[in-house]
Amino acid sequence: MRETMVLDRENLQKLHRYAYSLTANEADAYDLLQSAIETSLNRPADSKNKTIAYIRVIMKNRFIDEYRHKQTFPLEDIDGHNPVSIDESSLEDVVIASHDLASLWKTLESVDREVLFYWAVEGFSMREIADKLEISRGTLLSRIHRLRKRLTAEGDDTQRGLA
Amino acid sequence: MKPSQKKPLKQQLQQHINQVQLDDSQFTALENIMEKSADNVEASADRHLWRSFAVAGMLLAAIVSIFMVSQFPGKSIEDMPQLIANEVVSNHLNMKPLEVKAGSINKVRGYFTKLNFLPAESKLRALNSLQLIGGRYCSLQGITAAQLRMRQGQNLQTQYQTEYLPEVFGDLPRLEDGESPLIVYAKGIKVKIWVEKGLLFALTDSPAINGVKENN
Repeated sequence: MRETMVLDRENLQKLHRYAYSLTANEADAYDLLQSAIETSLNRPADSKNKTIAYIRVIMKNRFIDEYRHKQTFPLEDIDGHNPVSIDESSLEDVVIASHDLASLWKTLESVDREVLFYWAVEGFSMREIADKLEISRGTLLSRIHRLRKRLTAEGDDTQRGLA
Repeated sequence: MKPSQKKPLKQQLQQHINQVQLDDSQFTALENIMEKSADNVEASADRHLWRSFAVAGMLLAAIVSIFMVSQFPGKSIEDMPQLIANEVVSNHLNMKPLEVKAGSINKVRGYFTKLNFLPAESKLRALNSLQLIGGRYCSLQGITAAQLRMRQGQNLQTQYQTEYLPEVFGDLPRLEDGESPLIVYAKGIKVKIWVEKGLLFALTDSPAINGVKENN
């Protein structure tokens, strides 16, 4: 039996938001999604059944190829640094204003935005995010540690600027 | 300017990301791409199916051809006299029932109305001792022919006549040119083959066999 890919609007919306987490730009996100769908439709039928996860992978690869010619994850591991107290809840207590987040969002590295997307929108655990990004948990926590520092610093700077 | 209220990061992220929405025109465009692809998949699958059938058919034909060539070597025009002799002798030995009994060529002609030639009387001297007794429709190397049966004392001979097609039968001796019939043996029986009056003639010269009866 032949299978064709069917994505309803809810799934298209989810994929578009994931694309936005990669590109930080709505127009680029749409282009990336469209391109990924077209690519997936041109692949053999058996691979089209993977739908959302499959298209996410295509988008990520396409993004790396086309939008970011160089994708670098930090090589250093948290284990190689002075011990810092971070865990999976490190981002939970961060508070931020919406306009701070909006301005910060565009300046984050795409991999950080991806981490935040999986954490906040998809509700993935750190372990699941590490698996998705194919990095070690230590590397992910290290990344989150820096992300937290940046998020809180940005908020504080904004507060001081407004004060 | 009043700063926006701080909220938990997760909540702000959800609001920020979820505000990104595809509009109707974008949804429609993406859906059109998927629908078009689904149609193409169907068409492509159909094409693929037919292409598979065609390839399988060609492979089968090739295998059958190779088998046929290996089992039944192709007819070469050089082999044609022998092939004619083989066919004539086989039918001579079978002695299938006559379809028409006739003592003269004119009477035989009246029966063979579906031929695209008229059976003729040969001037070959060897035929002088033979008496026509009848005939039946037949074919020689796939070409429609008249099979005539002739009595020679207590013996029976078979004569074939068909339209002479050089491209099929090759170059054969022409009686009118003073050439003698070609003599070919098949299954121990001598066969004379020649061309006369635009017809190909083949005549068995079978020795007398005790017990042979006219089967008509």
